[in-house]
Amino acid sequence: MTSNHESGGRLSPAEGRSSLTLTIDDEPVQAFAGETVATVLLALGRRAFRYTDRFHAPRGLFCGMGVCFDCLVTVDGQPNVRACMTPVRAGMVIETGERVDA
Amino acid sequence: MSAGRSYDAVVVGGGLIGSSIAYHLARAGVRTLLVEQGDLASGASGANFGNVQVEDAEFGLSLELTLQSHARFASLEAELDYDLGYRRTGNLLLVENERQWAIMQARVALLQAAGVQAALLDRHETCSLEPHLAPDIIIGALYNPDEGILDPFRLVYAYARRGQDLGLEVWTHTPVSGIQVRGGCTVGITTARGPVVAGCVILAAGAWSRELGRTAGLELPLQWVHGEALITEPLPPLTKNAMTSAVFFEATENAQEQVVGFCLRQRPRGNVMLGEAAFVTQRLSRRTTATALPGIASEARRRFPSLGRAGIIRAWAIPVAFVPDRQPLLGPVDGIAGLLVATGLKSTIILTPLVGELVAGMVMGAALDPRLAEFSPTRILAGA
Amino acid sequence: MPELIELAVVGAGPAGLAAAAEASDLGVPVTLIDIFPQPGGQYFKQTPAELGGEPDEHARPLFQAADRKDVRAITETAVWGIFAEEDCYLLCLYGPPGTPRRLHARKILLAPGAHDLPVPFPGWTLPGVMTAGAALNLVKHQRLLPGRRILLSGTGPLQLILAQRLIDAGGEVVAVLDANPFPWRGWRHAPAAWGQWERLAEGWAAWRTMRRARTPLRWSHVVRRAEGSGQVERAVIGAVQGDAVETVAVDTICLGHGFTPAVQLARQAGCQQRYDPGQGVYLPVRDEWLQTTLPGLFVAGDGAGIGGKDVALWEGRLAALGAAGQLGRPVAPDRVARVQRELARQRRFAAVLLALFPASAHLGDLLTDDTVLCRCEEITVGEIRRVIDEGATTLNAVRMVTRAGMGRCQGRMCGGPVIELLARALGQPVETLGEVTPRPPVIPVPLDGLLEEEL
Repeated sequence: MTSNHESGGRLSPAEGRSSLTLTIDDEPVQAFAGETVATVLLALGRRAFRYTDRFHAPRGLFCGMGVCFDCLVTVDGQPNVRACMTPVRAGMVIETGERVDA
Repeated sequence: MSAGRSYDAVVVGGGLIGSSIAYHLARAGVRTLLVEQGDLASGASGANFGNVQVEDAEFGLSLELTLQSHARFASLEAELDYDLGYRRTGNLLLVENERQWAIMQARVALLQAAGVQAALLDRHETCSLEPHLAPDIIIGALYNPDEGILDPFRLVYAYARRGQDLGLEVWTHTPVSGIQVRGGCTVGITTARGPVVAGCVILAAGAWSRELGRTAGLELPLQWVHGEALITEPLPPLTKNAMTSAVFFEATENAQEQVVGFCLRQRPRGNVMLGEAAFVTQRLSRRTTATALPGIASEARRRFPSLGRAGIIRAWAIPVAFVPDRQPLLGPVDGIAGLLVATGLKSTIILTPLVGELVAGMVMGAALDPRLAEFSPTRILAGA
Repeated sequence: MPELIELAVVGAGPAGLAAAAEASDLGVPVTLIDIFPQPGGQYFKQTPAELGGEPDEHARPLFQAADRKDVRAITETAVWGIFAEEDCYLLCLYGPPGTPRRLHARKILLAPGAHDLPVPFPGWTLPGVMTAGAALNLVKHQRLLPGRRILLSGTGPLQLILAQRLIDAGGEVVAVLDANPFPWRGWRHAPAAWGQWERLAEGWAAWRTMRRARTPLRWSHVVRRAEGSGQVERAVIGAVQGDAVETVAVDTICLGHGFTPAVQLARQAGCQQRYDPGQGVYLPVRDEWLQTTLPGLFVAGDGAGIGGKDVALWEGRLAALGAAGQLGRPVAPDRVARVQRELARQRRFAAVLLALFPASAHLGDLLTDDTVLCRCEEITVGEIRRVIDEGATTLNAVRMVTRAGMGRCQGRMCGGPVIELLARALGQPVETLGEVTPRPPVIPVPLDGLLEEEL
């Protein structure tokens, strides 16, 4: 079966997409307009977006539609933002649990 | 269900006051039943912020009594063998105008004379204690580092559980339809589970005491305040002290229209409770009003602008009983032997242990504590 | 003074869009409010244009409805509270700068839809375990494979559709597990399937894709446990009833056990509810126009009971006719009859699916004491069981003492599982255990967002 995904799980085609740069945990990352923060993290292979208060357990994307409040990251200094509901913008600064809760 | 169950005492109302009285009765070996219409602490007790503070006694209960009750909290967890979440995190009563400042100067002198570690702080000192507090609105604060917080649910459950260990029977989800009086004596109550025979009935049903009092021919002068509050999502530590604006006490006094005072407390888990919107009501309701939310939000963010982006995840509302002369109703009722009333305390926690003990004492025939004389229901029921 | 509008439609999925079109056909100006930037809800979710998205052919006429000049679309906005006033309703809104914070509406049509039914099991909080809806959204609209070795566990034909998408995108779907037994009795329902050719063809095509990829479909099976360090690495699979298990290496588990209605707003507004044992949830009581017990407040679509997108479309139309009639517009009896007929037809088919693929009653057996039941507050099954043993007999008591359901998701994830756990522990039916009425805000709103005016 021909694999038609690029590295990180993104599906082709990439033509026609406009790329932009944002920062995740102090590292510059390339993303595409129209993607959510959750998509970009998953494409990077980052499944754990944060660690919980009580059991310090990793959490990431669960419901994908903004009702479970698991996929929380810090966006432009604002904590507890749902990654799955946040479309990326150029220059966005994202901090995950690796940076904040670890 | 078998009819005619018989007890020495039945306490109506499973909130802070009722559960404390019931526990103290059980501890003294009195055969007691605690009856609650819903879940334990489902009335005003459950809506309580959980502040254990001297200044929460919004009425003229003597400082001596209040401090005596306060002293109980140091050993309460050990006594009840239950984690109440009790912590002495400190309390600030925010002063925001000159009139309040004058009142607080007198107040702090009184407290200090009674040996309380209270201090009157200026704006700078207050904001150093609480860096997120907006300085422009604050003149200063009455500060008591010794005051604390606990989880009111846990306190009610602790009293009920410990009481059960000592022989207390607890019925929840059992509405009480009436207090039975015959020949000037209480003989028991009628409930959804059938009648209960008891020589002594203690009415500690908060907002529901008025209707129940009527079944015994009593017109208890209880009014209701519809109180509303909010809570945020878990947040990083923002405040250490529980906070109330002194405006709060003025504002809610005779609130015919909805007024909003400010109070705030961050729970150990990180959620910040914000309150309170209140108005005098003729209806028993738990519905959050449309105006309470922006009202509380407005008062909160004036003092804590950094809370502006905090997610509000829940609101709640509850009717709270109070007496127009702002004193609670505590004690026996003239003309009805065996009936005691213990309500109108406006859900204050600090008095819970002592009131429980004193009312239990009354049941067992102890001489009436003279300090409680002014709270006798008879003072108001002059015509009863 | 908040602006007074005639009809507010809350939710721009199939029900909301169809309602907006129907109402606007009758000359009722509509304000259509939705949480997402583009209309479509979940069923007609649109792929962002920047990622190569083109509108679904079926949905195109509906999207055109949202573009009509007498339909005002307010997007990226949540309705967080509804209050009945003397002769209209107050809606409280929160959206981007410039969005009105309050509206008065004579009539409200709620079309809030549903979300994936959460079914807890040990390890379900591990990253990589997600709902089928989340996975479908990723592969279809975000153009991302959710993982490489994917397990699907749930029930119903939508799982096959998801499997097909994942396989076509190059993912390895190690198995599709259906918690229900093979629908032997399906043939009896053949009459209800008459006319549903497209749906049947979709299912058939999905099945063939799975066959070609040698993806097994296993009936009466479920994932019992997810394991891994930092993310899911293994799934322990077994029969729904029985002890034999096997472990497979996976990096993604998609849970597709069906949907649960988003009832929070209708309940907060004060609609009377009735427990529906078939759906396992309290639903708003509605009359023949889909009006609730609050006059002028209607609920259409999955938000009033799971029926799927076609039921939603026709319910949206019916409720819109009801609202338009109340607003004095001439509603043609022919049209009403047609809408009712189509709705009845779609409901028949939806009922079949529900009958063949119900939420399995045995999934509660999967829970162990250390399973986290309340995801937000991290309350375990064991803690809840202990509180029940100590005497908690209502959902409210469990919530108050354990704090389960008191987190950001406001009980959306754990509410159903907690009440089922309570029902099992007490041996009582769910409808005797009490309800919890949602308070405003029904979705978390920033403190500043509650204010009547933007700062």
